[in-house]
Amino acid sequence: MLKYCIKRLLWMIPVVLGVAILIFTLMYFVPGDPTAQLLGVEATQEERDTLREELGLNDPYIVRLGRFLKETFIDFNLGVSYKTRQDVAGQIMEKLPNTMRVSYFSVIVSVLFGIPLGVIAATNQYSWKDNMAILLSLFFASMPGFWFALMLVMLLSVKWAILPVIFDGTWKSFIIPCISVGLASAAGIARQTRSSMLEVIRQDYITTARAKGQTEMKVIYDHALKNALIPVITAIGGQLAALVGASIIAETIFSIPGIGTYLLGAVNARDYPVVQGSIIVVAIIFGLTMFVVDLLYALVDPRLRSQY
Amino acid sequence: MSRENKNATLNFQETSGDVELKRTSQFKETMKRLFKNKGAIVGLVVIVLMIIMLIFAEQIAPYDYSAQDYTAIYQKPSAQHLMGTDELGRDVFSRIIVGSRLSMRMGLCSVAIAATIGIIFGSIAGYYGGAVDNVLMRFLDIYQSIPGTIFCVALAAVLGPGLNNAIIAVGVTSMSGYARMIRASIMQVRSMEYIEAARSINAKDGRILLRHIIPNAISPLIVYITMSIGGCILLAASLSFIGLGAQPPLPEWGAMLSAGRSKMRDCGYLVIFPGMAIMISVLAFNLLGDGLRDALDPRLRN
Repeated sequence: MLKYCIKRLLWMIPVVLGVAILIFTLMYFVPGDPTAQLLGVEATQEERDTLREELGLNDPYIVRLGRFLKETFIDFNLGVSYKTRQDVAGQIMEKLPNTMRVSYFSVIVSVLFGIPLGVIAATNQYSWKDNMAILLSLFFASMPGFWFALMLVMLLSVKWAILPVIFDGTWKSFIIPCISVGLASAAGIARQTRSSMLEVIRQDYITTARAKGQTEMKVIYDHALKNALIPVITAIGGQLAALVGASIIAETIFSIPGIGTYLLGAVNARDYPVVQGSIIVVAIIFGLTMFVVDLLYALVDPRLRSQY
Repeated sequence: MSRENKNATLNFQETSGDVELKRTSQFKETMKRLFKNKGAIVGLVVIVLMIIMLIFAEQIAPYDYSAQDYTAIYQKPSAQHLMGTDELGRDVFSRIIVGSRLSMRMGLCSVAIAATIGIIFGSIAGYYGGAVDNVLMRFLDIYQSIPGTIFCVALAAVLGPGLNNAIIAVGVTSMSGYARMIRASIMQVRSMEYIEAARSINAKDGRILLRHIIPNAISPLIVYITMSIGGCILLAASLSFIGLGAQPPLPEWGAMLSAGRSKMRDCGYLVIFPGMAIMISVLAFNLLGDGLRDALDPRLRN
């Protein structure tokens, strides 16, 4: 088991390195000169050239890449924002908790809705309940998250005024963003739960449990669902990745000070250090999340546990 | 076995004691199963309606999508303007109809880009295996470590704002799913004995790919393509919503939503209608894809 953990963690290193190189290369090709942003329109060409030398923007690709990798991974210095002159790592650490809160609460919402929906669909296969459940999950999967969020705001914050309109850190202000983001991914989880349950229900041990006289509730929840949830755990992990991305949109709408808005602002302002730093941090967090999910998966399934 | 019967399935029909063997092709069977699915039919009908709408947009739309009328700004939906007017007096209904062209274009083109890149990638990895496969899969791992929307935003920023750039960004972001799928299909077939048999009679690689591997990979591919059209329309609309996709005055639905947001309190219709349009089109593709998935499921085949 320990060997598996260590192997997986070690594997993250080349992946994060790869992400860093990929993002750096992408930013390298962004057209436009950051000095124009930094010095403003009135700066002379001389001032621009000096700044370029200072920031090392005239060096060849390999040199810049090497410098970037060394600073990021050896010095743990993600640089200083071109726009605000603030330490990127510090800013990210400040904003990260908000994004993580939105993502994780959204996952909770999607699990709370998705799994029961999937169970209902599976246990009533081919009936109207199954069709309704599938339709509902497709409905929410097709809905643009930002539109649903705006609709909810129109109804709950503007018309009925029971929830705050802008984000103010209270738990109430998390409700609409998390619901709008979470319901869309509930569809994926419902679908996975449904197909996984359908497979499990056909197994012999379920028939045996029923033959032994177990109540249907116990059969479904204690025997079938527990085993069916195993691949669903992986699906939830996958959704987390999508949710971090989707929360960018939620953050934009509700002005939540998270990584999403930070990244978006930086992207528009050609603020390379912020873009690079944010994406690397997000990739690391995603990698760690998937690692934990895989660990859970191995722990929960006794068949896998014996392998490791 | 003669060539014509290669794809035939045999149905036994009992008619008054006689057993009749009816030959239908796999394609007809699949279509029959598909049309039993009501959701898929609804999806198909909506898509057909959308196609008609975007071909005849100029005839159907009551006003020109960019016609500004300063005497009629922020009008609520009425008989003259079915979905109201926006901040420049443009008819929302006409803009939504013309916008369907943009959405379809975004969905189809980005899927085409994603499928092409992904299939090439996946085919090389799956077919040659070994070190090539390893390297390519590691690259895909790195690729997929960055959440899709974020990668798409970064890519769109590199390319610059604009509809075509958004299409490229969405397409490149979505390619990993296709790569993995094609690779899995190819690896599944590669180990089968009839490939070994084909090789032993000196069949060329290309022929093997074409006649054996591709027909096997097509069914999941069709389902995936249909469902990802919906996903790409959503992703592209999100890009436009945050300002990186279609630029004004293009009547792209996501951009219209973004523009109407500030007046949402008084002019809710500016936000309701474009969003509903996005949802209906994505739902149609998802319903169709879902129906196709059930119809093509090999486990249900007799």
